[in-house]
Amino acid sequence: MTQPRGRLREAVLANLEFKQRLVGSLLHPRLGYLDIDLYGFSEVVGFLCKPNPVLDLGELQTWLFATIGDHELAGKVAEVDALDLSYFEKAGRVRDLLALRLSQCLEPADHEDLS
Amino acid sequence: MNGYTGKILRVNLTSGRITRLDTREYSPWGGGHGLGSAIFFDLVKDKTIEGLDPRNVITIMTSPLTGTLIPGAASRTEMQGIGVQSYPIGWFTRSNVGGRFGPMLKFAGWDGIVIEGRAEKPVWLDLRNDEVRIEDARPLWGLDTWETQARIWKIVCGESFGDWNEVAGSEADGRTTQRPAVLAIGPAGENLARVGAVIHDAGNAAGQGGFGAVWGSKNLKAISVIGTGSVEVSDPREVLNARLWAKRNYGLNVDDPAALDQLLETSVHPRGTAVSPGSMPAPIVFWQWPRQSRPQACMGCPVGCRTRNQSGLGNESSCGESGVYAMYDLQKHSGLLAKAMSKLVGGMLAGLPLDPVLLLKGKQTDAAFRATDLLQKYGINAFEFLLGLLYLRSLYQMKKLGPGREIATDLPFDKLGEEELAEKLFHAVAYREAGLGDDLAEGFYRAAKKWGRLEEDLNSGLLRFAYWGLPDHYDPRFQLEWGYGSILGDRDINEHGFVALFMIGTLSQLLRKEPIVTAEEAAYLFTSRMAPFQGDLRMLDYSTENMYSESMVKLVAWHRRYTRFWKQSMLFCDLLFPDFINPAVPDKRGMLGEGEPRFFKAVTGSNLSFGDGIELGRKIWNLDNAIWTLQGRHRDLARFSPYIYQTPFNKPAYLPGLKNGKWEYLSVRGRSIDEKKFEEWKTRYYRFEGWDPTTGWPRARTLESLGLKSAADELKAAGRIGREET
Ligand code: SF4
Repeated sequence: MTQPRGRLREAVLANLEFKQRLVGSLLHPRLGYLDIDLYGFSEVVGFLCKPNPVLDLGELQTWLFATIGDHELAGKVAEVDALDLSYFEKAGRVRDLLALRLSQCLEPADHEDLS
Repeated sequence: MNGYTGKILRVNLTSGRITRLDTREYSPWGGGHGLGSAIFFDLVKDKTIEGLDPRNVITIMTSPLTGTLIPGAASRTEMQGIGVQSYPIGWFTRSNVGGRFGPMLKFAGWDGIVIEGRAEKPVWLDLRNDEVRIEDARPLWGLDTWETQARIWKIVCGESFGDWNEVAGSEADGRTTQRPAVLAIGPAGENLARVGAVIHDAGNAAGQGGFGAVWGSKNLKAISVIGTGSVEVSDPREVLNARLWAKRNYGLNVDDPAALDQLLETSVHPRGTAVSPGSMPAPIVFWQWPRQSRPQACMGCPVGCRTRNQSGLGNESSCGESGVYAMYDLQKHSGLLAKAMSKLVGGMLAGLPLDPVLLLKGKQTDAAFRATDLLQKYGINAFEFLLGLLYLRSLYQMKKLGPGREIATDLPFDKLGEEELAEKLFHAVAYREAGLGDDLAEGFYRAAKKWGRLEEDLNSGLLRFAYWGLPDHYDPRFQLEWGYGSILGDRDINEHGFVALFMIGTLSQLLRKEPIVTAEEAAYLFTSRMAPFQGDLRMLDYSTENMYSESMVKLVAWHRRYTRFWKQSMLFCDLLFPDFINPAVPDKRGMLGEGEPRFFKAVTGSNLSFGDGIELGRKIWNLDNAIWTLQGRHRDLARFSPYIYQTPFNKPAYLPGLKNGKWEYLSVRGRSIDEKKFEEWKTRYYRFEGWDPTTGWPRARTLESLGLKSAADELKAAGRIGREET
């Protein structure tokens, strides 16, 4: 994916307002669904790392396109969504795409605390 | 009286009188909930009193199976009385606690405890076998639930745990190495918070109903029990055989790799497909399972669905309790997780080998565990906060809540996910600190009302409290028997017997895997054993066309009856029963219908059939409805929150249903409950139960046919008896 810069990079790293949030749900046998409000890109990545995350991939595309302004990534997610795969396989691929985008937006110094 | 000790402790806190009830008088009700409802009915003359009224009576009941080796039924204790959590009326309600309190009560020689009145000053009850004392609890007042228990352990056993202790009041072999089992309230209960819970050991809570506040109003800080006796059973050999039979035929053989593979193949979650003893005995937690931990179980349970952790944090807490703060912790620290993920993916794309250690960098902190521990220590109902915190976060993000905002608070909501906020928030609630803490001590529903937000937030679903001012659980728009059962009753039923259908249907779709049973097989597997309605397959038809049908009436009626007797009176754990679908059995047919009466007979010697139990459940359900009616229940009150009617459910949900004459796991996404049709369904339901459909009140003829003449008489005297059909 193209290296994001400027406004797009800021949007990927931003904390969002209430109306800009995305709602995900964890599927769990004791609860059915537990809704989780996601107020930023990294929260979405974190959410997709949990077991059984359910997120409407269509809504995610719209959110990436309109709220984050990441048309390229929205397109990539649409491509994944169109694949003949199970939802959870798609969600895994989408998680990796979002993680990659985040990786592009972080400064090298941001990774230092991981070493 | 095999299975029973024969006596129930009765303590009047006002007079200090300690007496006994003869269990025999109430044993036709079976045990647990049945006993509790019957005793409550007899002892509370004015059922319109509020939960905090000293005339309210609390019952804490075991079952004949408690303290035996019956799997999943040995440990639980049922608590009942008028609660303070529900809205608009604090219904006569129930909660249930596992651990070891119930067995210890039986070992001390008691089938249950009845608490009446109100002590003048704080007290605790000290039960050592037959000996019962009302002790001064002023030195304990103000302590949290863990400190209270530890203090009582010391008072009863001295400093030495694990050594043999003589227990007063005991007979010849009255020694034990055990600590007393203690039920205690924390500051939340003392300060009469409607979200106050009663806690036992580290993580067992009678959380629903606000019993913490009811205890607080009675000045009752704790009940401690230690016993050195045992439970007489009818056929000890058969008790053991029945347990082994269940283990061999219905338990998952964790030593068999093929069995494990097969289970995991049918589920992404080890417990994902079923509520069954055949599921993986894995902890049911939302937080990341601590690596240094071991399974922890309620007494006598072969499963052990919780953990005890080397860190000492989060011990015994499971289910929703573990989820209250876990996601916020993860989100707060998700920068690190996201970074770890991004580095991982970046590395993989660059051809580097996968570094699993990197993923661990993104793990949650201790905040998730500590927050849950705080709830247990303060004695706060965790489930209320599971959805409540989501609501508070929304209000904060909407800029409605915060310093100088509409809902003014200085609590640092920017630190949601950090321990600091959890500590400050839960402290504020437990101690009813002016402002947000005091508001939330009343529960989220009442708080929203006070803030003038209730209507708007129930319409939009921002406040996901679906029935009786209580938090949503399995959503009524898809899990019909759950929603219908809750609104016909007194609380979120929290009974998972049919949710395997949703999990199997939905997971198989989301994973694109074959379900472990087809929808048609599921319909047969379930309905063939739902006596007395067996054979009506459409009870399992969750399609929108069938959701208001007579078959759905039967499904709900059966579920209310099964749970009232087998689950809440015999006290089979909700995690294991009813065992409809068992992933460890070749034909997936669990032990439902066969196991329950076999276990019951082994302990009591009684030939009560499975169907007899269902019929007894009907009687108990009718008595409960009579009590609610006396409290002020009318069918017009039994309404869901507006979002259940107005907003379509918008997540994937697949349940068995008929489409063009064929069984499928149908998508029910996008549906809501049609208010008018649901009212018609209620009419059908009331008729079916023999209740007056215009009011929902029981009819005298129905009650009398069930042997509940005294309930009919009391309803008549109150002018609240249902009109007979002409
Ligand atoms: S399954 Fe869990 S909650 Fe149920 S009895 Fe066993 S340990 Fe206790």
